Amino acid sequence: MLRIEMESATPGRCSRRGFIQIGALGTLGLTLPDLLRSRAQAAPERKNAPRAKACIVLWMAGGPSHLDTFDPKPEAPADYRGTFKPIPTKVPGIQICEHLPLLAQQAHRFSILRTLAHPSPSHEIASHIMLTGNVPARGTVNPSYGSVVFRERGYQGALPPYVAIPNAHRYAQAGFLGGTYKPFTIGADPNARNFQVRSLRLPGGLTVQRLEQRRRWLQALDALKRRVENEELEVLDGFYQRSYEMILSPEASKAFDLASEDAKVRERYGRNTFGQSCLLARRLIEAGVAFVHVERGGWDTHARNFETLQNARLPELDQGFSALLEDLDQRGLLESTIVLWMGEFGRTPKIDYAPRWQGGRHHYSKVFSAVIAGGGLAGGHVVGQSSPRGEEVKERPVLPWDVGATIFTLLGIPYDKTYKERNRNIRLLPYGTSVVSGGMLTELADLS
Amino acid sequence: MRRFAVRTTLVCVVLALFGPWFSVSARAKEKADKQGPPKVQKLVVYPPQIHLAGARATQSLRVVAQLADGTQRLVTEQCAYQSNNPKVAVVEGPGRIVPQANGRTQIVVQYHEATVQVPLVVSRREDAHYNFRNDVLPVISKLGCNQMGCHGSPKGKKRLHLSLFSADPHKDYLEITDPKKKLIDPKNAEESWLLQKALCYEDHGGGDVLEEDSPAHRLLVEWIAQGAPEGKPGDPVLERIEVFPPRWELLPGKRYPLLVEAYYSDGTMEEVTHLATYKSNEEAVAKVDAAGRVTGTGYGEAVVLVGYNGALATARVRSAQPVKVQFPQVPVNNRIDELVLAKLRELNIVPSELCSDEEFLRRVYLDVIGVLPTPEEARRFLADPSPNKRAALIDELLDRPEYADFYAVKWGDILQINRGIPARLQDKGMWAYYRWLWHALDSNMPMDRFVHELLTATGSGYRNGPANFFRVGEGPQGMAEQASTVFLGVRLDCAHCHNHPFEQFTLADNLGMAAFFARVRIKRTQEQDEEVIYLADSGRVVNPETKKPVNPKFLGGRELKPEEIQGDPRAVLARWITSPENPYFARHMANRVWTWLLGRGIIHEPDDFRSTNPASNPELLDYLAEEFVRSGYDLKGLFRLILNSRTYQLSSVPNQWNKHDRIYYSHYYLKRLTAEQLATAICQATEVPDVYPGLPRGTRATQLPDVSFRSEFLDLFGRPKRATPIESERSCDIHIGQTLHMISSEYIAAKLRDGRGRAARLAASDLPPEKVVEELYLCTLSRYPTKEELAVVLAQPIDKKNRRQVFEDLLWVLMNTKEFLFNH
Repeated sequence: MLRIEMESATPGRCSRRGFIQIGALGTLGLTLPDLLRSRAQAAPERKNAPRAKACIVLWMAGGPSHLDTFDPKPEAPADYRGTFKPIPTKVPGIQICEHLPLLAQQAHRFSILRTLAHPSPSHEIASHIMLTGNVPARGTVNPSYGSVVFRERGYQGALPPYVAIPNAHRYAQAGFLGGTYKPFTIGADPNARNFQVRSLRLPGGLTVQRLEQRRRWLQALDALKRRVENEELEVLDGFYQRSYEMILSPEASKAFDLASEDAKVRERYGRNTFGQSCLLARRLIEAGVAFVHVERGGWDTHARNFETLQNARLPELDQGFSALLEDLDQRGLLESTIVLWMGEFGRTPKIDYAPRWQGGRHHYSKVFSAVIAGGGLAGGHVVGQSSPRGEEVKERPVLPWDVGATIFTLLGIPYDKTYKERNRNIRLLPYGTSVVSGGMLTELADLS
Repeated sequence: MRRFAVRTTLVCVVLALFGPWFSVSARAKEKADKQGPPKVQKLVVYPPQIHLAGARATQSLRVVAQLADGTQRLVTEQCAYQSNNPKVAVVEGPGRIVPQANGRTQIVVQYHEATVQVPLVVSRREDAHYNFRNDVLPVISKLGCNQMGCHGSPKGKKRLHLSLFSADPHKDYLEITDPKKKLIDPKNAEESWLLQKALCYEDHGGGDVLEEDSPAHRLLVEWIAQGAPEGKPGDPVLERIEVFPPRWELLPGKRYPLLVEAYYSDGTMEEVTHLATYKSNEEAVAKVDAAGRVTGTGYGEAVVLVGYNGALATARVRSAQPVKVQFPQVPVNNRIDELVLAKLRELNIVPSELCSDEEFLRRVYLDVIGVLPTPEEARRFLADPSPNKRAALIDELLDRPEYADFYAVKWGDILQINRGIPARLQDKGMWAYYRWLWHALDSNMPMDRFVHELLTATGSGYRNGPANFFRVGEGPQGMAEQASTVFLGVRLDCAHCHNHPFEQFTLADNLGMAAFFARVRIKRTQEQDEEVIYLADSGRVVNPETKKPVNPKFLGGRELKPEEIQGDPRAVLARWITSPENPYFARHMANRVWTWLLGRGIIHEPDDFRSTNPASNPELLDYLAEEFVRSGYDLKGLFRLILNSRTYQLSSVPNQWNKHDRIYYSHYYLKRLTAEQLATAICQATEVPDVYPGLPRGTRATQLPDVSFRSEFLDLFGRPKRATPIESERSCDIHIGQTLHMISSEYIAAKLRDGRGRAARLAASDLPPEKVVEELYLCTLSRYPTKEELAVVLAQPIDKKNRRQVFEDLLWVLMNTKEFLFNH
């Protein structure tokens, strides 16, 4: 928290464009033509008919190495390219890391964004930027994409509109939108043998009838709320109502019931936490949940980058992510579901072989990769190009708010919407202001 | 670089406290306009006297009319102005003074019948020379060139590298005038690269920050044309800034302009309204634009922070609720109530009634010892006819060992006591630290000694509890940041790397505090993970920028010469912290305890003291601090003082005038029980204890020595990880996971149906149902059920067969009422 305030305590008065934009501009080595182009794109006309219904964010906490996943640099010197080799994918001309063979077979379903960039190489600020599309301002925590969708969509049944599996990052929360719009967190490992979602079933000895009786009594006897007008109490009441609905509706417990999945399907996703989280995400989308946040940590590979990736992160990613794309598409859900794979930043292209790190990569935000699929976006493309060693944006920068504006546009939410927090109007995204931008992902969809 | 900043702020705070309030109410104004010319009692002109120097000086005035009806109006535009000697100065436009020649005269200001003469001195008219620091740097700062994202970034940007927020003017001068950089061209000033970039004639990442032919542009051109001088040896130095009016009363939608004056060492002054930077601390009350115009946005109080060339000043804005209420006569218990009431009266906020005995009972148990009263304790207190029973209960609770349990949790958060990540104190270190803390609280160790014991600790973290203080912060800077937050309520880690505008604490402050810890060393022993803290014979902190060693310097205070430090420098620091004159320690401690008890800090948050975060009631905070010092740093005494106030004992039920108040203590603010309080209360209500590994059965959550004990419940309800000393790391938020847990978790269900639990015991007893209901109300809500409540419950037929089930259900219901979940 503190570090965030530190970095953001510098209000933008460098120009009308503000400081972060310029900070980014400097670090990215953007030229004025880039800037002018971004200005030209700043005020588009658009229609707000939603094309996508839902979104899944696969959040790789810690920051995955771009060189070792979706932006291999086989021509770079050995202390940059590392030990992994690229492999071809189903799409001619696109190569990804050799340890992602199943994903290579799904390359026509996703597009790679190879030029994401933002100004902060610290976990806290970077996570805030990537999960909310906003550089944090002092004293303000912005709502995550999921919370915005929650707020815009509201409940469409008993299931909460925004669910996090197994937990939600501290910036995948509701920020200034307030507690109502926090994600519902599963809080348990979907791969556990006796996986059960936190308190979604009635505990031993409690029947529906008894629960209803308790609920009636509580309503009658809850005296304090009648005397004290208080927003927090209202919100709490809302949570109680939602909780009863979730517990009592068959739809919710069915959606969470992974045991009812075919064993083969469960195998296909991978019998590990990430794989089963992806599977659960699909089930929830099927059941009408608007936004799912799947969190997988362990990508902060300062030390022993290659061992960690090869033995742990990449195999489970390959299996779970590829299964999710394939499965969604086969069920006809990919067209209406955006899937976004990302971490808070990439990792230093130059490998640190110091004894302490044994071949590690550190934080790096000047350029890194993300993957986006579904929701009406074309697959089989690469957006942007990084420099030969993966150190800088060479062509077509993609800023976090460009991705955010793309997602919101597809979901039919105006990216320039403002929310009133106390007496201030806070914009949903800086996109479309004078902020530096590469523009929305118009390469992948008609976003006008 | 900011050596004036603190002093200026203090001066302004003092002014702000004692200065009169200037009020202009819209209604009064309308009334006055209808009733013909207003009756002016006094005309006040800012600044009251003027000394302008140099060829370029001009000055504007602000005029306030104090009217007969007690209101005040800003009438700058409506006045007539006249110079007594137009050869010295003329007045152009409303209140705009333009000097003509050296000399003395007066400016006569007239508003209806009232007139005021403002003495004016003009000197050095012939002097057109520029001083980089006084004249040029403020322009560069206002343009924003030296910000973090621009040329103030650690590596600068492109060809220009300025110090962040003009921290180092001399370096900036050398940078801009560096012949190798070719940024300026005195022979052809207008074509200088610096200006071409700023005007965006050349590609400029920062855009066109400078407007062609603007005053800023003309100034820079002239300065460059003069040969870009740094200044003359005898040039005056900026001493302070003042902002006028220092206080103003404003209604939402209304606007008024500030006036900022810079005062120099030679007695001259300069209007810098257009060059100062502005920020409102409370945009929900008042906004301020870049030109220093303040607009009211809501009711309450706000502080506008004004920065200019490293100096800071503040202007206070107040907007009272317009409702005309007959402010009732409110009894007071002690001085706290008088000070709270004074503020409430100013703002037309009527306080709530005194809370009932039932509410007080439950509230004070939870706030002082973190547990609920037993039904027997509740019955006894409620039946006690003594008029002093509240004060007696406060004394009784403060003496109970559970007080130390509960506050060891709070202090454990602040001190980050944890055996595991991130503090890594290990089992032995954690226990040693916790036990020391517990006994310090239980024995009410005076807080000055508490500080000394922590700050001067040495030895093994496994044997000497307080030595673990030094195992939490990393390196001298980490230790200094830890000490500043824990003892002074100041977050110094923002200044870990660089300075910030509007923040009084700089990197130099951080390093100066770190220098007190430069000799602290940590050494591992042969015992597993044991660490011993000792003081090395030498050691120093080096400034990473200048590479020079840093002398110890008290936070916001003076620097110490090496010979002033005899023995352990940490002891010198501890003595300074706990001296009665320390500006932070006592206020910060008073504010923490106030926050714990009242739910909201007079300074919010309690560990965020800074000039830009003002107190909602400064007089109250000062009083509490004085009492704390006077008592010899008696912590329980501070609790006693606050708990006995009527303010603490106000009802949580708001009235129509105070329902929006969240900062002036017009009623008791609801507090969701903390994770540990709630777990303990549930165990008490159900009579089924939690079981924590390695601790005896019956250990309460409020008795856990650290946060490493696995508990889904505690995590769900916001137990912190103790990763920072910041109190807000503990969350009392509510979310749907919590309600689900309360409704259908096995944890709650098992406690309700436990055969040894309260529901089972009462069901097995031969108490009649209404007595059982009474018992259940007392053990959860600490009160008897009302007739209506009893009727609701007894409407359900209760027989031998369903008795247990009904009581379990009722117990669940009571544990899920807001009255149970909140301290109210």
